[in-house]
Amino acid sequence: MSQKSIIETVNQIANHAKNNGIAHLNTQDQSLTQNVITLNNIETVNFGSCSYLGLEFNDKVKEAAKAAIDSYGTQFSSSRAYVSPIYYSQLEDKLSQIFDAPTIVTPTTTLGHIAAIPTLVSNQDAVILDHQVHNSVQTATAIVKSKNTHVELLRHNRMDLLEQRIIKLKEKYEKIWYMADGIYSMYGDATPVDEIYALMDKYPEFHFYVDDAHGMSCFGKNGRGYVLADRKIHPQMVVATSFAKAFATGGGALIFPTQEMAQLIRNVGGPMITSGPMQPSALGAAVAVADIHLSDAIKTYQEDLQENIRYTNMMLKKYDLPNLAESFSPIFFIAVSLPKVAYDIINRLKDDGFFLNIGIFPAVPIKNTGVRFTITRLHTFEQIENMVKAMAYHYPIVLEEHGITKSEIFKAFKMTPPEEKEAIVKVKQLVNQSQLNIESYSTIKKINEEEWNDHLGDNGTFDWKGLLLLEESFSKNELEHQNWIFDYIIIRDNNRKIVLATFLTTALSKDDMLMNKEVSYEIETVRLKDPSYMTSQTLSIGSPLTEGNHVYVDNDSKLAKGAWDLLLQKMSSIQEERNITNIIIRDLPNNDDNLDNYMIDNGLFKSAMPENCKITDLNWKDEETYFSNLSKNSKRHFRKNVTRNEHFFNTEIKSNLDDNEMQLYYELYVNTKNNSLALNTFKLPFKLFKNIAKDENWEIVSITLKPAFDDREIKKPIAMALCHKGRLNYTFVIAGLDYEFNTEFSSYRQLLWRIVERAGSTGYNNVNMGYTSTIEKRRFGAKIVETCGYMQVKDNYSLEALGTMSTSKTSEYDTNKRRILPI
Amino acid sequence: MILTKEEYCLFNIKSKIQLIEKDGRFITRRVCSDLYLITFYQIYGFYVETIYEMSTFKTLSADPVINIDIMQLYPPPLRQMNSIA
Repeated sequence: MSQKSIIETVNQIANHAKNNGIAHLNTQDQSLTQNVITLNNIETVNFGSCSYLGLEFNDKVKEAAKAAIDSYGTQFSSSRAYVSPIYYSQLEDKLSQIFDAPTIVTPTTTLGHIAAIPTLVSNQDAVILDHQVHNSVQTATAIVKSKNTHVELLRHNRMDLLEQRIIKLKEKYEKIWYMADGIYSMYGDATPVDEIYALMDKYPEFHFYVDDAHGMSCFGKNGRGYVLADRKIHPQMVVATSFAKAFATGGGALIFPTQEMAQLIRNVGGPMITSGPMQPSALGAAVAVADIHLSDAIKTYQEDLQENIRYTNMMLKKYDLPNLAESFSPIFFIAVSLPKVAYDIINRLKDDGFFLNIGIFPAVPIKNTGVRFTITRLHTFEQIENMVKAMAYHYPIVLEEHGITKSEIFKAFKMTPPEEKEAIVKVKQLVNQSQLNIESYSTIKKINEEEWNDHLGDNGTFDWKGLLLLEESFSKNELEHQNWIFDYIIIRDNNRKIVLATFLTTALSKDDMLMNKEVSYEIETVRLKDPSYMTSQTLSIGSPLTEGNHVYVDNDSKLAKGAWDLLLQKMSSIQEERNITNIIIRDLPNNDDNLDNYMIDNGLFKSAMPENCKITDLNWKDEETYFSNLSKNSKRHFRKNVTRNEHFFNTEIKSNLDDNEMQLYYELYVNTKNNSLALNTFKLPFKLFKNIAKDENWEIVSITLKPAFDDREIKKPIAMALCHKGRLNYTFVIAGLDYEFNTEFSSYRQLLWRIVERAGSTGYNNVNMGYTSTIEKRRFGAKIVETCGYMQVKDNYSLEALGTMSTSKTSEYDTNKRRILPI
Repeated sequence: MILTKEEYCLFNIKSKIQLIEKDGRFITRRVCSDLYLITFYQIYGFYVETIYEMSTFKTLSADPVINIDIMQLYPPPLRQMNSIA
């Protein structure tokens, strides 16, 4: 996913979580002793702490921190490149004993990554990121990526795929770095260390960089972490770890197989030179904690933690809560599905005196939102059972309130579902509970033409007849991607009045549709062998060929929200039934906070739509009047690029063509499509063109060169536009160009002008000009219509893999406009 | 929530004591050789016996009772309770 979209979406979700009272909270306690914190005047047991061993309250550690302040003050402000306080050497000596390998201390784990990764990885190397590797590793990898190092994403923990990639990449790159977490921070699952060691033994080019932040102290001899546990560090690996979790002091460390490598990072790793050092208090505390790690006490602490983890697992099982986490890990994840359900459960538990976290996008796919909590050594069995018991009480109540079934949750998380078809039953339940009735049809033929057109007929090309044409064109084709499934949804109140009406299509889409052309080019080379590579079944409001507001909603009706609920539930049931990956709701008004929040609650995140161009007040009289209404710049542009070239062209309006003639226009379209990897779509079937040729509501604006300027033996059109004639709107839908003539004659601009002229001269005041080429279209009087879309993706992998493939050449357009564009 | 005897036995002694304190019910107690304080509890539908070493102030074990005849070693109130049960 693009950086800009990520930022917008995460910002929106964080604000929403904050407004729901479960994020950005502050404690009210003046002092803490154990694991009880006061939030909003309620004493709550903290189930969100990553200080798994509770060492922050250890008397020796606290005393050591105080003593260090007494000795060195609150800081020792000098770059470590010059001089370090004595605690550093003490700590690094002790850590080297703990890890049995050369170790350097870093101010934070993130800064450790930034010091190590750009130093270790050159642009002769390749980096493979595990899909769920911590964001801090990805941040540091972005630095090497900007220096043209090859970076790609691997599906989480897929060692079979990893080996395939090693074999492939080692032909081209010197080293292949696999970057992963020891223990993953959301589901608490672990990286398969033994298999990775075996791969390092097998392939000398293969190197492993691992962040073991959540494993530190909790596992292994002397608390050396999950990855090293009882192993010797491999000569081809580097371990980064954190002191900000179970180690309880802040800071981090890098562990290396050789002293030379450690010294290299110490010498040239950016933050090792330019970032401030750890504070004396943290260093003093860290030395004391290192002593604990080197004593037998650490075994007791680890055992205490494991006992609490064991008890928690038992309780979750006995109270029948869907726990996704690994059994040995202090991180637990209760499957919930939608954000709104997680918000409610967490808030109810907070009111009952238990503070837990939410696991939400981008850390997990939005429909895989869950309640994440951690267990520490400080928890008592009583606290644990009381929390689990409270969750078990609220969980089914909240599910029922939001109309979510356990079956839906199981399916969202790919767990074995208790009952099939429960989502369909859910639609019926919703209908029974509301005063609404839902009608669902698979063809427009079963819907009254007048009623459909009255509600949606003037919003685009999807009036009754337009949809009939699409149905006939996108069925019974040989290629899978040229066959769409249509669903028409009409929701009525008890008086038979329509509250909501729309249509949906299920179609195969390319995941890279709106990525930059370099990415699409790379993907298309893979698709030559594997046509389904990076494609997804997508259920979308509207269709890939239509644009405009596809959802009629009677906003005056009190039942409007209920109708939306019903529509989303219906879409979920279709998604389950057809095993669809993505849901897209698009072309909705932008800047509607209530709608944004409603969609997030229901597991759909906002995504930018490309700018759409529309002329809404053409007021055509003649060419002269139209010209006089253009802006000064547009007039200059028009004279220079349109009027001056007019004499080269003949313009014809074509309809009712035979197949041979239509084939010429199809070739122009294919030509444009093949030149437009920036908008990478599946090729439309010729059947669509044949049907359009015979449809009275469609026509072709065709441009040919006058014979005097066309020296080709066979004279053919050089530009064309397929246009739909609606009741109120004239819509430019598909373009075709022969690029050989575009530069010399500005044929695309001529085409735009002729579309406007045709629309005006046939009495249309509104002209839909479509997406892309917005600058050109604005010069002809079009205005930008801002809309937005909402997406739900079952699996984030493709989105993130595309983001990883995206290069620094990615334009603002490419990064901003996500994948919701019609063809 | 009830644990089975097998589940209870998975825990170490420190945790077993915590479970007994949380969910157990004191039945009776006896002193053995002036050295050990042996206490009988009921928990999750079975019995456990804890052995506390007075000289070290440590609980040495907190294991389920295997042979019910062990109750004969306790003072009468327990035997009476058992016969009533």
